[in-house]
Amino acid sequence: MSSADVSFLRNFDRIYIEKDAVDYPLTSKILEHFKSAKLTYIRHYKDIFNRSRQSFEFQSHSRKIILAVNRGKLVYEGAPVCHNYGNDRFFYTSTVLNCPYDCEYCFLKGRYSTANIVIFVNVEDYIAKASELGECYLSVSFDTDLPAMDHITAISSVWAELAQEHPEITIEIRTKSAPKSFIALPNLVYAFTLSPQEIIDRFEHGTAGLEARLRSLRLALSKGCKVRVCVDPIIYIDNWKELYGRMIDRLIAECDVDKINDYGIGAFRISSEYIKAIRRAEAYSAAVQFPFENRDGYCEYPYELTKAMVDYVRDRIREVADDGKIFCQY
Amino acid sequence: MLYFFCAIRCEAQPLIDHYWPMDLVMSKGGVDIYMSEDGQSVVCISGIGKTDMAYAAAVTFSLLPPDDSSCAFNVGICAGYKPGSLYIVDKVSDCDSGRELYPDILYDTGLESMEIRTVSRVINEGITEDVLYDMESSAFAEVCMRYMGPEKFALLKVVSDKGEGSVVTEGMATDLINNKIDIITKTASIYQAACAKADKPDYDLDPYSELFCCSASMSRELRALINYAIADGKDYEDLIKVMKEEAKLPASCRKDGKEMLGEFRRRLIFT
Ligand code: SF4
Repeated sequence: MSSADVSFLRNFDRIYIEKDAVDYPLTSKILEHFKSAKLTYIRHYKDIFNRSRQSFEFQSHSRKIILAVNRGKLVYEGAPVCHNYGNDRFFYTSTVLNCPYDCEYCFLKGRYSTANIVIFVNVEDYIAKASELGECYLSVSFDTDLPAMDHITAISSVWAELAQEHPEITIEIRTKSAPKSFIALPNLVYAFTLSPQEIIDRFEHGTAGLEARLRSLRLALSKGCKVRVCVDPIIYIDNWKELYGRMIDRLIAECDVDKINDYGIGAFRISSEYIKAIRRAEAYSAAVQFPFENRDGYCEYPYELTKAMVDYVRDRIREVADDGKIFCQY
Repeated sequence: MLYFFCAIRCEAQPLIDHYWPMDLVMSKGGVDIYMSEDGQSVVCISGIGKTDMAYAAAVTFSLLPPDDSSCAFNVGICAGYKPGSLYIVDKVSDCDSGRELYPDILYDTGLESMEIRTVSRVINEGITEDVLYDMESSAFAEVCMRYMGPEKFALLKVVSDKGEGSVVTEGMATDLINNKIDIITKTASIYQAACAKADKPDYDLDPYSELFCCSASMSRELRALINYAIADGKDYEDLIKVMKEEAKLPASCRKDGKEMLGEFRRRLIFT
């Protein structure tokens, strides 16, 4: 028998549930989706999620869901490397840890070293905490791709309700999926990350294709939603200019770009704390094996390359948007 | 390497027979360790209870250290609801410490999974829930967690009795394991095949390090460059050949090597 013969159990064949999480409405809702899953009751999600010596590589073949109650910090202040889109008070929150998608370059592989996904079912506590923040910018799809989980959790719509009730809080829902339902609010930003199809095929496994992302983006614009287009991360491959150029051609040709609220542009960069684990998990990924330069604790492309990529994308976006609408990595 | 841990000889005998010929490589302090002639399988008889199992597992892993492709199994009888059934354990609860441990259940072995509770005494009062009871599992799992990832060990338990005080003879224990030996060894093969997957670029860095007169940190940089070349499908060997033809390599000294490493890096990324 060789490794090629090993068959893994399907994703989400098993759900671990904290005993405290059993009675939450979101738990029942999620379990409805996984009627045949084996349930294992646990005391604390960290007993599974934080085990030592886990292998993302192995677990990614058979992911498990962990339903838990977050008793710790619910909202965090944003790191300096994140775009704050002109907002002084930038926060992020994670109702889900880890992502059902498998982008080779994802920082979560460095942060967590497990492919299992934690869903915190006490969403009400998050909402209560966020309601106290006052005027701020809150990213809610941070340690995951929240809309990618919405068919199971519908958590995005809970954040949309908060936006409705708290106009002082601007909520950003970022995704590489292609959502079909949107709520148009001035303080609710749907951020679509766009990548050339070749980059999606090669590095962003499981995410929606470019065609589907553009279709979803058009739908959001047609509903009057506030839409952000993120060309971030730009991934270096030999013909990056041609690929990103063609993608922007499509964006301009197929979408009503005048209605796009703003743009985020950045080349791939990652905390140097994470790079070792990511490289271990993705030994054959050119996206993460690239010989980055370490600048101020972040692994980045050589400065000239970063500048060339960001400048090129910015110049192309400038064809259709004012500088005030473009937020760049530097 | 495959490691099997059993509390008593009558549980281990079917494994010893299966992997025979085996040599007794250690017999000390109540622990017997057998190794197959090909060096690929180890059967350890620990003795009964958590202390004996923890000691035996630690001694075995120290004497014969596991590598990345190693996996370990605790095979034995236990009390449970359905005598004769074989289970793979998905949760190990230590009834003394209250600690809970979770081996990964990733591979399709066809086995039903079940929680096991490890206790320090024989259960006589009968079992009313669909859980398993034994006296070693938590110790085995605790030690494994220190030596390998949770995807690399498993507990395979055959129910011998309902914990009602009925006597399980040595012959009965051997038969119970023997009846399931094909499934047990097939499961071990599945783990072994999965863990054998050493999915890392494999090349000898030394000759390249010499070409660039590398220091330790330069060697690390060179390895990163070669890994990138492999990941991106770039022909780094051809690039080195060209640099040799241009008389840029081998480098004459470390300073020169450093410069050439920069050149190699530039060409690798941008050409
Ligand atoms: S979609 Fe985002 S969070 Fe999900 S794997 Fe990709 S980079 Fe990570």
